[in-house]
Amino acid sequence: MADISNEQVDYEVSHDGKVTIVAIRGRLSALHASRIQAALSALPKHGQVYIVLDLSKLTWIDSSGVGALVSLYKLAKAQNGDVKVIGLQRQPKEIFRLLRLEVAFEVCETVEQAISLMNFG
Amino acid sequence: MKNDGMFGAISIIVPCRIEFYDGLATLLQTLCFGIEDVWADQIVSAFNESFNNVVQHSQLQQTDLIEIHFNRDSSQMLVKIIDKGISYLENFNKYQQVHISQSANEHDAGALKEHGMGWTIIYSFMSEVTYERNAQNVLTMIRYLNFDNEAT
Repeated sequence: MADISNEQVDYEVSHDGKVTIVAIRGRLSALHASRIQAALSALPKHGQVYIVLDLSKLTWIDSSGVGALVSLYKLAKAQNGDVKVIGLQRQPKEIFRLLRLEVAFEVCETVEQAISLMNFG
Repeated sequence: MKNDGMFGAISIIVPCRIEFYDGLATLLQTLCFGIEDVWADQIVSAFNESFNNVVQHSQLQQTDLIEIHFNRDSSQMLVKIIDKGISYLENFNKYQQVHISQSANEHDAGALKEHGMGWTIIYSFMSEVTYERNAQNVLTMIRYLNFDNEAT
């Protein structure tokens, strides 16, 4: 059973060359989605358009959380960027499958694979 | 899944505030004890979306109240949400039709939809979803807990 008690969401940004790696941890739901969406949206606005989303420690996502990721994807793509996803687990993996998000977000096994498959335009 | 004899019902009234979601989800998750993880996640996900819908779109004030019922018996989990916000019959019917048409032709299910993702989650993860509108909105979602009636 997933531990869902009062778990917050947080994120960490790192870089590997031209690629920005965003690790999101915790529960990405309506309570925090707007804060995360604002933070993620700032990346393309600052020219960071090649992005790997590390979701290996994301334990829960709802449609508001998905909206935040989709918003990032659209902003990056609008600037000829690319967004890959790694590490999907359990409930987030099920939501990605149901909403067919893997059609847009290519889901990779590792950061290295995601970077190797990144379309640098 | 075997019947582990886990039954129970919880009824609770909370203010129309998103901050109450985590506590409610914990209650529902606890009532899902013994249910396969993927099914429990689906039930809680559907509740997550329906609660969000009320908080975000009902036009209720944060001091208005939402009535919630969880009821588990040997064969099903029932989740009911009652609120006095604006009617959402139009969206309920609209996205029900979208869900039916997408189920009939999975290739038509577009990626990166802007709207209706919550309803897709609700309709896909629950076995029955009904809506009644009188003086209030009553959304009832049932998930069967046996393989013969599996929702997804």
